[in-house]
This record gives sequence, structure tokens and C-alpha cells, in this order.
Amino acid sequence: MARVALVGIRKAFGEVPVIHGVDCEIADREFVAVLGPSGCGKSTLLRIIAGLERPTAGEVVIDGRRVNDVEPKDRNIAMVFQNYALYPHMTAYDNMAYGLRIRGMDRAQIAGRVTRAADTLALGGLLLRTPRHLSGGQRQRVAMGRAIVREPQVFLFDEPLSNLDATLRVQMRIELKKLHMSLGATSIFVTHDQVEAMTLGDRLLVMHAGRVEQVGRPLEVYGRPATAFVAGFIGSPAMNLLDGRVDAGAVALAGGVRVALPPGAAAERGRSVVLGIRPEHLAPVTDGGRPDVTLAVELVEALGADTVVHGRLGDGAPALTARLPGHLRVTTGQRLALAITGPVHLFDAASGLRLERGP
Amino acid sequence: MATVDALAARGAVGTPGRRRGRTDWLPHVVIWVGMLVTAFPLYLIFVASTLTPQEIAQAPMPLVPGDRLVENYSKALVTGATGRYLSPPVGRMMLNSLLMALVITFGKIVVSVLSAYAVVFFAFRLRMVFFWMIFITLMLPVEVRILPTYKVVSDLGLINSFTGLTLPLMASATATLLFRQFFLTIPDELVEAAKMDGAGPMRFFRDVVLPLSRTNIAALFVILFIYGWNQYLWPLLITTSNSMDTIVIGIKKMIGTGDALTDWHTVMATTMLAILPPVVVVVLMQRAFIRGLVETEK
Amino acid sequence: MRRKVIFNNKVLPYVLVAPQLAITLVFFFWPAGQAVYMSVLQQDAFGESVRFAGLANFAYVLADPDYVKALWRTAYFSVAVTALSLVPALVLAVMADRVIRGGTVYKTIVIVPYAIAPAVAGVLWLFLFNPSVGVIAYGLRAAGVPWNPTLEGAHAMILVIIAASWKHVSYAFLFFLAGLQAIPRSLLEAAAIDGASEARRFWAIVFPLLSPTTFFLLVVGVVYAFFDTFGLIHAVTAGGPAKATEILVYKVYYDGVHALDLGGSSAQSVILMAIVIALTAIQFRYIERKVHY
Repeated sequence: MARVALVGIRKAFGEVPVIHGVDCEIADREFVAVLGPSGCGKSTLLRIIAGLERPTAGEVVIDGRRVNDVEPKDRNIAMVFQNYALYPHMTAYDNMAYGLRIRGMDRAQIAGRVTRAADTLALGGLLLRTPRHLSGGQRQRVAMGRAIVREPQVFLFDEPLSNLDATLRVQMRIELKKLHMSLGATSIFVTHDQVEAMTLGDRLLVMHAGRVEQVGRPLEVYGRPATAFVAGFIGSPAMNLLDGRVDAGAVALAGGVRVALPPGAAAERGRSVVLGIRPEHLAPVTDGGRPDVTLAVELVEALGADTVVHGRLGDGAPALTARLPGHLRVTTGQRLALAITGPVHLFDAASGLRLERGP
Repeated sequence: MATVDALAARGAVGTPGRRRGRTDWLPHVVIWVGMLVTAFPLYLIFVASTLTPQEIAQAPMPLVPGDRLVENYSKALVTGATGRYLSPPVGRMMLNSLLMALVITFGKIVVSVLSAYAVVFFAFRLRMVFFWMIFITLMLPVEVRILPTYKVVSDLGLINSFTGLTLPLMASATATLLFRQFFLTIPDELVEAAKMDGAGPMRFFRDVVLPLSRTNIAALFVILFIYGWNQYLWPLLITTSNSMDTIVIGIKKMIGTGDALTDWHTVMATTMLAILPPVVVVVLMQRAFIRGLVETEK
Repeated sequence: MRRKVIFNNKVLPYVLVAPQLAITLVFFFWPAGQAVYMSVLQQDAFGESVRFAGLANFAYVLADPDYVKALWRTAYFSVAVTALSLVPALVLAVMADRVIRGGTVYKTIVIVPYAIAPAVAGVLWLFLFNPSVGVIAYGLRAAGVPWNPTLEGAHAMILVIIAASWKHVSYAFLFFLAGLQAIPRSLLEAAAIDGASEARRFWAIVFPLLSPTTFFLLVVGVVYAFFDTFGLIHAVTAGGPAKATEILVYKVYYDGVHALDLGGSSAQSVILMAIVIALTAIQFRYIERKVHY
């Protein structure tokens, strides 16, 4: 098992810069989820760590060794691909054994490793089947098996769950988590699905347009997003991001709505800001309470466990989404008095950075 | 839609292609006519190959097979024609044809698959130059460069040699392009997984690319075998001794000027023998062949 | 387009392309270059006196009435062969597309001529049409036609056209069938629901959708008639009687190998090369989207 360090990684394809400078340290046995929307450079970053792409600048260090000039096969890593990349004409067994055979391992040892991995992944009776005769979930497990038998220092995952249907994805997510708990290997997992990232990651690395927006534990990223982008990306339904201007201890939003400045916010009067409130941090006002905002309901999603309400904070005012307890009955046209029950976030409108007074 | 097609296939639901009643017989009639026009001439050749020279000479020849099947074919195979042209035994000529066809086929496949692999999986400076070179050869059939090609072969001392017969025909643009097209469909991830597994390019070629190319190779085998077996102009120019004649050339020499002094029964037997191997190959590998043929040209 | 993951070896690719490169350079480009070179020279048959002749050979060839006749003859021949093979092929393919049962047997039989060498196909039909022993010839004479391909140029031409077309129908059939089977059934069903008659459906939908295939086969057909029929002509008529069936490719051969007119034959080769290049260029221009590089 090993530590991985990325120092000043930059990547450009021809004239087009794709990664603008990534620095990160991944501890031994840590599971880091690299999260971001399509095109943010996360897969490219993973491939640079794997050695399938060369960085334009910067260094990749695995277990203290600089591996920029080392072939993927010699970096002691294993990768699980998005489309599994199984050799179509080989059986599951051969798929898993192939890398070991090339390394000259003897038959008995290979058999040992493959059967052990197959047991861990519940692939028992499927080893003699070719990929064509395996379901999506089974193929994915064979792909993982191929990575496991290598007993690498670092596991790399390139959106391995994206091609599975919803129920299977949930299942596999849990399997993966259990696997990590039992194997304890350093893992780097790329995904665009924030639920996956939150479930699996010890830490999250949130990327956007080739830059790292935030690195931190899941709850940290959830609770104190460093930028407006991270704030809007994590959480479902997405955080409400409202444009406004700082004015006398509060933020003035469109339509005359005012929200008090959160404590600890560092923003001078007149600054353009973005105010963030999570939908789950809004609740109907209890009797006698004074509402923080009033919502004119336009659309209601009754989901059973929750009721998601969409509306406006008044004429000409910004739109807002609130996630309320499922038993509440809400109708369109209703005016809901809501209290803010969680932290309010403030971001600079131009840079997107969190506005907060230092500790 | 799948189910509608399936139902239509069983005739349960009418599709535009299948009409009830009046015009239902038309496709069948046309098909039978087609089969007849194709098969009847071949049938007549077969009949002629079983008759005596006298029966043939007396026009019109009978339309049912005669009783000389065994004699005619064994004579052709063992002794060859005894008319104006003393041919080597047809058996010998068939062997020549077989050897030539197989060597050309395997040679072309090997040469092409290697070239296509290089063009697709590597980046080297002359790559595009090479690719266009191959492309251009599509436009240069042998017939267009008859004399100079002959001269080159002659200068290399390869006239009347087996090498001279087969080597010049071993570079094939169509085979290379077909393999290239197929190789382009191999997913990038597969190559990367192989790299991570530690496979170098030739290992990847042997363990992954070749097995995946099996159907393409089968289809090409049929096409190239027929091409090789049916070669005419090139063997005509290159071989000077009768013993090297291929069966196709042999037939031509047997008929001389095609007059009645020809050993027609032997010629016909030889013709049947010349047709048999390629037809067998096509029929046996029909599906792979058709798929490959349509893929090659597109 | 090579948006492809590759290997980084620098020397290996050259090793891999070496065989094809070598053969192509030695047996394709060098001779082609030689043909061009020889076409601007005039030399006697023994190569003793050689002089640069510029375009004289070409001028001579193009002015030669025999050549011009051969040119027209080849054009006529290729149009006839192409039409006579494509039309029946299309008809057969359309019918075969409809019949579900027995389709394989039918396909197998119709494919057979593809496997037969043009020369052999020629010998086959030569036999059937042979004035002395041929079955069809007998029928023709019984019907009062003075059939004699060894004397009558027109008869010889008919003979080779029939033989060449017969053989080529298979190939065209296979491609038409594939083209037909690629047409989505839903299109035809929608038209049927709209009330289009069968003939209407064919001409309005099927035929237009088949046009890439048709165009492709037209070009291939012409190339086939120009070049692949060499064996057929050589075996059956040797260009006769009295040059009645001497097509361009045969003339190149005859003038070079028998008449020993090296300059003229080379010039003819070059002209033929130009024709092929033009044909192939047209074909790929039209079907360009299918060509990836």
C-alpha cells in the first residue's frame, strides 16, 4: 500500500489546457473520490496517475518514487475501466489471469490468486464464461477481480459504476465500500455522481474545469463548501444559490427580499455575492416564529419521504427550492413561511470563493 | 420492430414485401429463373464431362449425363489432354493452382494484418505516406502495368519461379484496409487494459487482436483464395514451362482456338475440376464470406 | 482519424510495414513509374536505340484508328456488361429479399459464378455457343440464326458480353441484397400504411436508398469490364475475330507482348491508369464519408 502525491500537475492537449495545476496528497490506505462534472479533467488526471497520459508539467509520486517516466505496468497499480475493458474472447478466469501470466507467475500461484479474488467478489461459478455471457454487474466484478489479483499498491477506478442501472449501482456501491473496508488499499475513484463520492470517499477531491475546487472529508465538503461551484454540486436537490448584494448586515436579493448575513461572513457593504441555502435547511415556521423567507409555491414534488417544493420568494424575487418532511401537505399557490434551519453560505459573486472571516 | 418482423417472417402479419394472392408466385418464378440461368450452364458442362468425344461432336449433345464420368476425370487428372496441347496431368495443375492460391492467400493475410496493425496502433512519421501509398495501389491492377512488372520480375530472375508467381501478388490494399477498418473498432480501453496488464504491442497483437480478427480472416481467406486460384494474366506471363501451368491457364491452352478438334470432354472435365475447389470454399464459408465481401468494399 | 490509444515503439512499426512496403515499391510503384517512363520513350524491340519522344507515343496512340475503335469498343462492352449484370442482379435481389424460406439455397447457387474465373466462365460459354458442338448454338441455328462467333465480330462480342455478365451477376446480387436488407422495414411499413402501392414503394423508397450501392456497383462493374475480363477475352476470342473483341486492356497486352510495341503499349498503360484513377476517385468522392483515415 502506498501514498500518492500529485505535484503541480498540468496537462494540455496541443493548445488546449485541460488541467491547470493540481496538487494533492493521498495517504496510505485512503479512498479518495475525485468528483466533478463531465469534462472537468478528472479522468485525465486519473490516466496521468496511471501512466496512460504524460503530464505537461508536474510530478506523480507513488510510494515516494517519482513515476513520471515509468510505464503503467511498472507502477504497481491496477485500474478498473468505465466500460470494464474485458478481453471479449477470453473467459473471466483468463481475463483476470492475463496480467499475471505476462509477469511469468506460475500456474498454481495464479490459480490461487484468481480463486481468492473470485470468492471475494462472489464470481464462483462464472469463471469459465466469456464476457458476452455475463451481466453488466458480473462483468464489472470481473474487471475488479482483474485489478485485485495484481495486489497493487494503488487502485484506480474510472467511473466504474456509470454503466450500471440504478439499482445495481446502489448495490455495487455498497459492495465496493465493503471491499475497501476489507482490502484497505489506497484507492482513487473518479465519478460524476456525488452520492457515490460521498458514500465511498474518505476524502473528496472536487474538480471543475481542470482545477481542484476543494479537497476534504465528505461532510466537510457538504457543510463548508469552499466555492459556489462545490456548493451547487454537492447535495440533491442542489443548494439554492441566490444573487444579491451586501447591505447593512444583510444580503439584499432581487424583489426586495433580505436575508441576514451569516455570522463569520467577511463581506463589505456593496459587494456582489451569492447566497447559498440548502433546500433541506428550510422548514415551516413553528407557531409564533418569525419567518426568514416566504415562499410562493409554484410546483410540488410529493416524493413520499420528502416533499420538494419549488417556488419564488415573491414577485421579481429569486426562485427557491425547499425540501420539507414528506407528511406535509403543500399546494401550489400557497404561501409558505419558512425558517432557515441550517448554515447560510456566502460566496463572492465574481470568484465564487467562500467569504468567511479566518479562524 | 422486432416482434412485427418476427410475425411477418412467419407470415402471420402482412409486410409490404409479401403479398397474398396474385403476385405471390412472382418472386418464386423469378428466383427459379435465376437459379436456372446460373445452374443450367454448369449442369451442361458437367454433362459434357461425362460423355465421349463422339457424343459431344454430334450436335446437339445429350442433355443427360453419360457414362464416362470416371474415365474422363481420371484421364484428365492423370494424363491431361491429348489433343493438340499436351498438358501436364490435371492433377498436377490443380496442385499448382492450390499451392499458388494458398501461398498468395496466407502471404497477403500476413502482410496485410501486420501493416494494418502498424498503421492503427502506432504513430510514426511515414504513417500517412504509407497509408496513401497503399490506397493508391487500389488503382493499379496488374493489367495496367503488365510490361514493366514483367520486366522487374525478369530482372530479379524470378521468371518461371514459384516466388515470381506469388510474391508480387502479396501486397493487397483491400486486405490492409479491411483489417485497418476493423482494428479501428477495437476500444481504446482494451488497449489500455492490456498496457496495464503489462502486454507489449506484439503480445497484444498475438493475444488480443488476432483472436478478435478471426471472422475477418475467415472472410478474407475465401475472397483471397478465389482471387489466387483464378489468377490468369500473371501466371500467363510468368510461367514458361508447362509443368508450372495452373489449371485455369491449362484450360485455355487446351482449347487452343476453340474449334471442334478440341478434346471437349477432357476440357469440360478439367473445367469442372477447376471450378470445384473455389466453389466448395465459397459454399462452406458462405456466411463469413458474404459478410467480409460487403465489409471490404465499403 | 486516429483518435486512438497507441503504443510508443519507434522502430517496431517500420518493421511491421516493411513487407508490404517492399512488395509495393518493387512490384507496384517501380513498374508503374517504368510504364510512365517507357511511355515517353521510343525504342526498338531489342532496346538498342532509345530516344526521348515526349508525348509522341500518346499522340500516336490516340490518333491510331485501331486504338480509338478499341476505346469505343471497350466503352460499349463495359456499358453492356454493367447493365446486363446489374439489372438482373437487382431483380434477383429484390425477389430474394422477399422469400424467407429456401433463401440460403438460392443464395448459394447464385453465388457460384463469383468463384469461377472469368477465363473459365468464358470457356464455359464458348462451349455452349460453339458453332459445331454447342447446345445453344444448335438451338440458334435451328431458329434460323446464322450463328458464328469465329467469323462474325458481332457474334463474338455478344458471346463475351454474355459470359462476362453471367459471371458478374453474383457479385452485384450479393451487394444489392445486403443493401436491401439494410433498409429498415419500418420505412416500408409506414409507406404501406400511407397507401403506397408496391411499385410506388420500390421507386420512391427502396431505389433511392439503394443509390449508394448502385453507384458503387456501377463503378465496380465498369472496372470489372475494363480489367478483370482480360482472361475471358484472351481465352475465348484473343481479341478477334479481326479485333472485334479487342478491348483496351487486351490491346495493351497484345501490343506489348506480341507486337512488341513497347512505347505504344506503355502509353496505353498510362492512359488506362488515368482512367482507373479517375474512376476510383469518383467512387471515393461520392462515398467519401465511408472512408476514414
